[in-house]
Amino acid sequence: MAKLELAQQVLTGAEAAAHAMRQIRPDVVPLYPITPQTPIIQTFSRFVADGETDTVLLQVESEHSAMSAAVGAALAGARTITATASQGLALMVEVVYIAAGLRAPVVIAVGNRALSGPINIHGDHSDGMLARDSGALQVYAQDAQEAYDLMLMAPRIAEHPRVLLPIMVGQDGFNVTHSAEPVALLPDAEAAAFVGEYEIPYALLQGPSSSHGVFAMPDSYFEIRHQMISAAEAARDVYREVTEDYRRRFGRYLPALDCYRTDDAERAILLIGSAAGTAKDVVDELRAAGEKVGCVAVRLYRPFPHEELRAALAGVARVAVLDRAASPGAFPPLYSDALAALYRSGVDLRSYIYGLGGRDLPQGDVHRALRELAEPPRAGIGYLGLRGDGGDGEP
Amino acid sequence: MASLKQLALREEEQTGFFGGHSLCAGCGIPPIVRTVLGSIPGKKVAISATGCLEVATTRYPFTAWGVPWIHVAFENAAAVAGGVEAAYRALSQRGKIGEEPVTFVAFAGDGGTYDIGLQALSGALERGHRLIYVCYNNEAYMNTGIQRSGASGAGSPSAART
Repeated sequence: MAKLELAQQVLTGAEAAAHAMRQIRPDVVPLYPITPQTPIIQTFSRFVADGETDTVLLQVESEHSAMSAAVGAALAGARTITATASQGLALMVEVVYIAAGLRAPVVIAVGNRALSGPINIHGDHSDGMLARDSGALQVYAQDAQEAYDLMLMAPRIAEHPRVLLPIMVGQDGFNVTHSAEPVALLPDAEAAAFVGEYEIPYALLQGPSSSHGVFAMPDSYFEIRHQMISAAEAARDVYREVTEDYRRRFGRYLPALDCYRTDDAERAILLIGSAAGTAKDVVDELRAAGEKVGCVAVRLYRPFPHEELRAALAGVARVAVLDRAASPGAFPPLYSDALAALYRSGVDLRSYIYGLGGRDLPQGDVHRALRELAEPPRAGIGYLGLRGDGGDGEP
Repeated sequence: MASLKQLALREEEQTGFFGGHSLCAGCGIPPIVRTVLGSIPGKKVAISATGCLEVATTRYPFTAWGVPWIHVAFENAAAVAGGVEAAYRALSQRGKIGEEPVTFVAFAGDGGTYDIGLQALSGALERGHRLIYVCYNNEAYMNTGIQRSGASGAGSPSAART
């Protein structure tokens, strides 16, 4: 396997995503600012202003129009990327659903942030979960390096002829978007060669005349939606192919699940995003003390990697599922997905919610979740870091 | 440019918009679309807001449109049109499509223009896209059954009164 020797530079997750965009050289980028995504589009705009790419920028008047313009551009035959967060994604969601239905492979960089109200600009996954059932694919980065790698892979996954769906590339607001770390960028030419050319069937500006976004009655809507659902299912294999190709070419591998010290684990943490780093530190500490614990971080959230998760947790007795989003009145999203994936597997899953509105997940909270796994199960949802929950937080 | 009278006489030459759709007999919008498209020389792309025109001309698996056509939602015809026009500029400057000029024409009703689509239209105009925006203003939401819009005249009869 080739392993390129790459110079590292210190970049935030947002800057890393913007560098990936510079190397992808999208044809069109509709943009609109919102914290904590703004540095993605601002950094990319600087690259355009400096002549590093000749992308057409559209400074739209809302995220709704950003996504609307993105669908128009993508179906016209132009590779299109946009970015958003929180309320912006909420405003966009109507059109994200339509983008999936019209099979517009738009790449959406997301700086994941809490939803109002109360208004809050900090990180959680509520915005991504709002678009969970849209048909858009979803991947989540743990750090700036992954934000770069996933962004570079995103067009290949979204534009694959078996997929043709939008893809959301999530990075936790502030924890990743604004945290500077060493990031190894690929050489521009290698990155461009990996991404390849944008080709879709039936582009508005290429080939014979075609109608997009037509009206479907009950005699056809179900079949058209089923095609889209099947494409999302097919994206599981395509994600695997693209990440394998990335590994073959560049030596970096980002499988759907990041399984950390799970091989002989008896207890494990399952979560999404930047908190994986904290959980891995706790795993190392407990492993050093002889405890058999591990951590699984989900990179590919939609389509959900059911079989991979079943395989990853096959020998694990108890798993604490940490959601950074809620489904008020029901169990939170990742827990529900994991429960379905592990149905009748014998794995004991417990649900926790942590980190809403940017509340930190300190190591003590991960310790608590792993410690409680050794105790008899309790009903309902546990809350990590919530004041008054009887955990390590103040009463 | 041909006069309206001349355009009406040349209907068989106009291949941008065909009959066979399910718009109501006597509806004004088919001749408007046919006339607008017929009066634009060269290649064109049409963009529709949600409404009678879109619903009645594209019932899957049929289409009345002889030109490339796209509809995304109710309130965003101007934004979608801007995206298509931006794609044309991007692909032209990179030599990915021919240099033949293309005209972009958006069609929206008064609800999709005066009310729900006003913001997207404002943004598109401010950005200065090269596109034609046609508002067919029949002074009410006709597709949902004659409810008032921001373009309805004071005292206009609406479904609630008829």
